[in-house]
This record gives sequence, structure tokens and C-alpha cells, in this order.
Amino acid sequence: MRYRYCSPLIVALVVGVAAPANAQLILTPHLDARLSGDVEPSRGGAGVSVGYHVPVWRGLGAGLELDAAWHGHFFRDEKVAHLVPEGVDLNTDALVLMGHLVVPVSIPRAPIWRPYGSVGLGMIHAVFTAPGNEEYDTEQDDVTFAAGIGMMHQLTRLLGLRADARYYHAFVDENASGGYFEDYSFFIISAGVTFQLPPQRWPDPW
Amino acid sequence: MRHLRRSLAFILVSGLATAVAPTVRADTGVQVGVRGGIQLLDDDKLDHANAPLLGAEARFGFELSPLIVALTFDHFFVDDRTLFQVGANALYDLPIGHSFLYPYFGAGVGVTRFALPEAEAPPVMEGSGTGDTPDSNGMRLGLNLAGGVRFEHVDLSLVRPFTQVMVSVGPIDLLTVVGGVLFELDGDASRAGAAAR
Repeated sequence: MRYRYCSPLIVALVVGVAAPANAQLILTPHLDARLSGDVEPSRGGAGVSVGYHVPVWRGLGAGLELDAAWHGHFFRDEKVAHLVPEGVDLNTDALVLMGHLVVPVSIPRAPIWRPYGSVGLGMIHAVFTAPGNEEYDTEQDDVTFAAGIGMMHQLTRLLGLRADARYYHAFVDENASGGYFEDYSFFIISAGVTFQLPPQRWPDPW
Repeated sequence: MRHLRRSLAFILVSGLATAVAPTVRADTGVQVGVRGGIQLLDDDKLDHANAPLLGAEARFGFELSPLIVALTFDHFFVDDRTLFQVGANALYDLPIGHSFLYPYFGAGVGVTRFALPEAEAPPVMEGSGTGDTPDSNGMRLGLNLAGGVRFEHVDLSLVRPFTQVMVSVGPIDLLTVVGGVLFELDGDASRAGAAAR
């Protein structure tokens, strides 16, 4: 019985030890700004992503990233104002949970710069709250696709910077509960600080 | 969309400029100092045109990168209201420095905090929800674009005067012209100008 509980730990240990050379675990806290689209622009969010990147072929890499971000004042007021009577304040926030496939590219003779492209799939959990009028509170989950480009830059063996621009498209189930009943899309530009494990200088070529 | 185009264009130009330029590396180290200046944009809603500002700045150089990370705080003196910005910008020394003048440009993000008298909350500060009054206080995220010149000389081993123009685009637009003095914390005179070489 004890072996059964130990087996996931052993598998994780084996996978960790057998990780390809130059594989990197990258943790990125980031700030986001929504720039345009169907949601409220010029508002921001904050989140964190965890990614695992491995070199694949001649400077090309592949990575999987899990990202979670919280965005306040999410939907445009005029798009949701009809959900509440006049004079009732309705706030909308969103938790964006995404998994991204990332393709980083190592630049020859400039390995501290690493551009990348990404595509992702996940969910936006939108929350509608009317302070003092809980009967109007509601929420919805929308399957979301994302694609974008970005750049990572290495400052030290541990620290780096990261900036990217991504397009999001949410597919809304019009028959489900919630408060927003049509597909919506938007752009996000984000900037963050990366922490890389193990700390190492990015090789040239990767 | 206008912000997106501007942001993407700047990121592309910055990336190209730093990737194409000869490989340079900022010296590691920390500089801290004070800055002062003026905010020039005329915005009658915020009424912050020609507002003087006073702030502080810290610049960090890193072992592997030509970029210098600058963390800033600017407080704007505007009657009856509070306005300040906390910023984080990545600066790049252009490889065209003379013996003592080092031009640079940079980009980053700024979080601007405002507080207004309730009755004067302008429409530009849209509230956090529907049907509410405009926000009388809050924080807004913006994109910073900066350009400046730093003065370095071996006879001033600890002191780094600089002047800089910075524009913040977003819900609260700012155009600031500042001057300041940074002090090298480790005081290594041999590092004067190293960041640009």
C-alpha cells in the first residue's frame, strides 16, 4: 500500500532526473493591460504563469505554460448595464485560466533574447456582482482560445524580463447561465519578470 | 487599437534596435537618486497640466544584459488631488555615446494612482461598474516610453546626472520632462561610462 502512494513521487523524480539538458522551468508574475476588443479597454489585470521549456531542434524549443490572471472591470459597462435596474451598480471581473503551447526561438549570437509564439486554450470565469443587490450576482465560464507573440530577455542566470501581446477569443454558450451572451475577443499586452530554474546562462545555440 | 499599434511598434523597434546593435553589456550595479520636473500634457479633466513633480529612482544593471531596469516613483503636485506614478522601465544605452554624454531610450509600465474630490470625478475616470458614479480614486495601468541622456565623467565617479522625457499612454496620459541625479552605490569610478561600451 505504501508503494502505491510513493509511486507518483518516484515518477516525478524519474521525470525530473531524466529532463533534457537545458530544460527550464520558468515562473513569471506579470501585469496585463487590455488594449482593445469587446471587453473594457485600458484596464488591467495581474497574474502568474508557470512554464516548462525544452530545446527541440536547432534553436527551436517547445514549452507548456499554465497561466492564471485576475482582471477587474472586465466587460464594457454598456454591454451589461441591462442586467440590472437603473441605479444598481454591477461590477464584472474575470479569472483567466489558460494553458499555452509556446515555441521559443534562440537567436544565434544573441541568446539572451528569446522571441516566442504561443497558442493556448483555456477558460474565462467571469463574475458579475452587484454590491448590496446579491440577487443580480451571477457568473459564467467561457472556453477561450488565445494566440500571441512575445519576447523573453535574460538579465541574470535567474532573472529575466518578458513582454508579449496576445489575442483572446472567448466562445460563449448562449444557453448557459451568466450575463454576457455573445462571443467576445480582445487583445492583452503583458509585461513580467521571469524566474528561471535551474539558474543558468542560456546556451548559444540552445 | 491605437494603443496596441503603438505598443507593438515600439516593442518591434526596441527589439530590432537592441538585437542589431553591437553586443554591449551593462555593468552590474545599483544607482539610486532623486528626480524632479514637470508634467506637460494639458488635460482639463484631471487638471494636471504643468504640474511639477518630485520623485525617486533606482537603476539596476545586470551581468548578462545590456538593459538597465529603472524603478521610479513620481509624485505630481496638483491642487486638491493626489496623483502619483510607480513605474518600471527597461532602458537601453544607444551605442552612440560621446565621452561623457550617453543617450538612452526605454519602455516599461507605469501604475498611476489618482484621488479626486468626489464632485469633480471626470468622465475619463469611468467607474468600476455600471450605473455608478465615476471613480473618485483608483489606479490605472499605462505604457511608458522614455528617452534621455545621462552624463558620466571620471571626475564624477559617484554622480550620474541625467535628463529624460517620458510619455505614459493609457487611461491617464502623461508627458514628463525630468532631470535628476543618480548616485553609484558602490562608487567604482572605473565603471563610469561602462554601461554604454
